[in-house]
Amino acid sequence: MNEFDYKLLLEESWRRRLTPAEEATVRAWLAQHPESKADWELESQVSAALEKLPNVAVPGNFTARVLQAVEREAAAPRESQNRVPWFLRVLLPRAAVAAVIFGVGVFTYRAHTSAKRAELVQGVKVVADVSSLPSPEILQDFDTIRQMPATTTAGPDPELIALMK
Amino acid sequence: MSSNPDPDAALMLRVKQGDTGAFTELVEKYKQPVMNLAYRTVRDMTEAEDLAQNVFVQVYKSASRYKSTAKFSTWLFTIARNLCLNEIRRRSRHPAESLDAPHPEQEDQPLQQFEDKATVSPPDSVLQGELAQQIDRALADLPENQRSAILLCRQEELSYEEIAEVLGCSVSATKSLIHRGRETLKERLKAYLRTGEAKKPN
Repeated sequence: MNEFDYKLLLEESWRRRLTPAEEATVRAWLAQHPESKADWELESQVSAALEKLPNVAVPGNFTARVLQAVEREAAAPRESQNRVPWFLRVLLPRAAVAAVIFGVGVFTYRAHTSAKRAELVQGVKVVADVSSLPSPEILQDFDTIRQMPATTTAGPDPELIALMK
Repeated sequence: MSSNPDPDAALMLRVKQGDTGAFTELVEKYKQPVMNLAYRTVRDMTEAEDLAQNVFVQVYKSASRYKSTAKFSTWLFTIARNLCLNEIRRRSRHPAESLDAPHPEQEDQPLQQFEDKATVSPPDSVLQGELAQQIDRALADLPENQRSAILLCRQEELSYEEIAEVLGCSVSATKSLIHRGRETLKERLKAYLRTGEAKKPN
């Protein structure tokens, strides 16, 4: 036997009485390891003392009281169940869950639809703005006008005015 | 599953079908260990009785959820420990002194009534009684998980795997709890165990 086996037997001795064979194995180990002897004896004494720990007194009518309590417990839910019709008891929670799911579905659908509608309105608005723009023919002299010197636009052109007269 | 089926599981299956006789059998078999665990956790006889009663009511109410693959005693002690822990939590929220709880000035009196099962000679009975009180006090001072592990381990003869399941921790953590608890007990009871006298607290 090695120290590991000794520890295993020690742990077993916490839980139950060792068999004579196991006891003999431990004794042989302790003969070779006298330093562990005192601790083993103390362990054995604690185990023996725990084994002798007296039982707490149980009242004579304990079982009868338990059975009465069980009957009371069994009767209580039966009474409360009798007050509510069975279809309400079964259907109400399911109907509530279904209503919540339906509500969430309707809300999501409406939100999605109004988002789509807003997008469509934006699109129509852009198209409407484009149709109100001036005709492209107006812009045919745009480049010529843009290249005219800036000074000519600063004041009236006397030459042009004379010609026009 | 196992070749040696749990006889309590078979009783529990009958309880599931509404067999009150099977339930009575289970209560009769386990009322003592459940009372021991409850009393040594809450240290109050009246509350321990109520707790133990609630444990069995809970067992009856939860019978439909019981799976025969689980060992009945493991399931029962898990319920018992959870109810005890709830009681400890309730007490810490609403502290109140119990009429049954021992008082320091009454140290010489027995802590609680115990069953007198053994017939021993007077000097032996005195020593046994004193030792029992010393262990009881030392156990009471242990943290709840160490105390429960030791009680389940020694009194109820469950396997380490089953104790671990009740305590909701690993087997190695369970062994560690038992080891630490026993180390404290050894320290507290060392003088008494060697000389027969209780080590007086400082």
